[in-house]
Amino acid sequence: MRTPLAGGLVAASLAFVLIALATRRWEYVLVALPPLVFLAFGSLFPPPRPEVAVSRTVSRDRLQVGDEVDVALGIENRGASVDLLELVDELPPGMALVRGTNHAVLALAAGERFELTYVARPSVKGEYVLGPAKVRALDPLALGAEDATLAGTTRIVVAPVMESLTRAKLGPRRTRPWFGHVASKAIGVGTDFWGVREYVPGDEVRHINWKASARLDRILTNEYEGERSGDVVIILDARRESAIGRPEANTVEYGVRAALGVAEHVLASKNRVGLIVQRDLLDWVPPAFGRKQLYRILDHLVHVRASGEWPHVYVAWVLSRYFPRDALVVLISPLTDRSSLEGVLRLSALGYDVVILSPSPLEIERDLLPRSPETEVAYRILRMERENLISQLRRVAQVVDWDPATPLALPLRRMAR
Amino acid sequence: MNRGRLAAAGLWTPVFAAGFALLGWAFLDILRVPVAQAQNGLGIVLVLAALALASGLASSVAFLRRLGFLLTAAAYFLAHALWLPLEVVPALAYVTLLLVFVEFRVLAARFAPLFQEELTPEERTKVLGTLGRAAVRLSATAAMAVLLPIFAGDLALAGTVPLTTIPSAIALAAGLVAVIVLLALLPTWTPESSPAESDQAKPN
Repeated sequence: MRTPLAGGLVAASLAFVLIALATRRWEYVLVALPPLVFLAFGSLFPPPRPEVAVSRTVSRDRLQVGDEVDVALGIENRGASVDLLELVDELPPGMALVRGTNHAVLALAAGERFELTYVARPSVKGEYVLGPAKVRALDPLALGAEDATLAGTTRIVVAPVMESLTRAKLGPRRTRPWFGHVASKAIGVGTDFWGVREYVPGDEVRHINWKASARLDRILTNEYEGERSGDVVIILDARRESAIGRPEANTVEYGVRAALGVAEHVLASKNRVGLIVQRDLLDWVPPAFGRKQLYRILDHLVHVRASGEWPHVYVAWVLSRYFPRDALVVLISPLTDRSSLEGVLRLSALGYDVVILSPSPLEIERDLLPRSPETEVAYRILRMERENLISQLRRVAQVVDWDPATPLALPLRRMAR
Repeated sequence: MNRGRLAAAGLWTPVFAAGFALLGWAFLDILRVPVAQAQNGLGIVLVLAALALASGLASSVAFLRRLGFLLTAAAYFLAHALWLPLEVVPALAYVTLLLVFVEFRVLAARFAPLFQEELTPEERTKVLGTLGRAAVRLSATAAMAVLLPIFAGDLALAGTVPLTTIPSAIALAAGLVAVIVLLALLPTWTPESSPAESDQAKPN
C-alpha cells in the first residue's frame, strides 16, 4: 500500500515540471528530480507482506481488580527479512499499561524471534480480551506499508474486589428446614440454651442437665434453640441511571463489591443465596448453597455493566415467581429515584423481609467536584432529599446508607445494633 | 531526565533543526528580493509558515504542519520564480532538505514514543538498530537526491543527454505518467488500519 507521502512526492514533482513549462526554465525540471529519487529509492525496498507468527503468554488469566498481569508477546518472522516492522498488541479499554511496552518498531531477519514484554493492570472488573496483535511492515522512507492482523487473543477474567463483612450481622430471619447457623426460635439441634424439660427415653445422655436433676430429684434434659438456614436474595440495581461516578468507581461497581461480600458472608453461614441483576436484561441466579454458588454469583457479577432501565415491578415479579417467599431480600441500590420507594413498598407488601444497602451517590459526586460554597449547598439539599427518602423506606425495610469510602461492614454492624 | 526521554528529545531535535534551517534559508533569500512590497508579502507568508509549522509540530495537528510546510516551500520558490534567479544546486539542496524534514518527522514520530516507554536492553538494542538502518538509508537517499539531478544537469549541459529536445521531453512526461499510473494502481494506505492508533505511529 502506498502512503499519502508517495502521492505528495509525485504531486511535487509534477508541479515543478509544470512550473518549468510555464516559466520556460529548465532548472525546474532538475528540481523535479529529488522527489522522484526518493520515490525510486522507496520502490527499491518495498515493504514485504509480513509473514509472522505471534504467541502470547500471560502470567495468569484470573485476577482481581488492581492486580497486575505480565504479558509476553513472542513474534517469529516466517517470511523474508523485514527492515522495519511495527508491532502493536492491542490492549482493551480499561486495561492500563504499567511497565514495558505493547508497541515496538524493529527489524527482523528471516526466522528471527523477538519477545515483547509488558505489565498491564485492569482498573475495572470484567472479561478482557488481549489482542489481536497487529503488525505493519514499513518502508524506511515512509512511502509504503503492508499490514497484517494476527489471529490469537487471550481472555482474562478480572474479578471485583470483595467487601469484607467480618462480624457483620446480616442473615435471614425466617428459616427453612435445613440445618444452618441461624437461630430458628424453635426447639431443635443447636448450641443456644432454650429450656429444660422432663427426660423422655431416647434423649441423648449428654443433654441431661445433671445439676437440675439432682436438685429436683428427677431427670431433666436441656433443650436448645434449633439452628437452621434461610434464603437470601440479593437484588443488584445496575440500571444506567444508577451508575454515578467514574467507570472504575461508581455506585454500580461498589454495588457489585457489596453483592459479592454479602453473598460470601451469607453462604459462609450455610444459607442459600440467589441473585437478581437489574440491568439491560433481567438475569438471575437461583438460590443454592456452598462455594460453587459463590463462583456462580461471581461469574454473573463479573459481567455486570450499568445499562438498561428495567423497572422494579419486573424484579418483584421475578422474585415472586422464581424465588422462595420467605427469603430475606437484600436490595443494593444507590436509590437515585423515587421508583425505588415504590419497588420496596411492593416487595414489602408481598411479604418479603427487605434490607437495603445503598452506596451513597452523593459522597461519590462530592469527591468528583471541586469544593465550593455552591457545591456544599447543593450537597446539603440533596442529602436532605436522600435522608427523607431513606426515612420513608425505613418504615418498611432496614436501610444501610453506605459511604463507599468506608468499609461496608461498619454501617452493617451499626444496623445490627 | 532518563535515557529514554533524552533519546526521544534527540529524535525531535533534527526535525526542529531542519525546520529552522528551511525557514532561515527562505528568509535569507527573501531578503535578496529587490521589490520591497514583494519582500514584505513573502515575509508575511514566511511568518505564517513559521507559526503554522511550530504549532503543528507542537500540537501534532497534521493540517497545521502541512500548511506550514507548503507555505515555506511556496515562499522560497515564489521568490525564485518571480524575482530571483534559480540556482540549481541550492534549489536542489532546498528541495532535498524539505523532503528530509518530512522524513525526519516521520522517523521521530515513529520512534520517539518507543523511547518514552520502559524498554528492556534487548528491546532498546533492537529498536536502536532499526532506527540506525533507517537513518543510513535516508542519508543515502538524500545524498542521491542532490547528486543525481546535478549529474543529470551536467550531462544535459555537456550535450551528452539532450534535455531540451522533443523526444527527451516526451520521455520525461511518459516517465512521470508511468509513476502516476503505478501509484494510482497501488491501494491507498488508510489510517484506520494503523496498528498503533496514535497519530505518531502513522506514516506521514
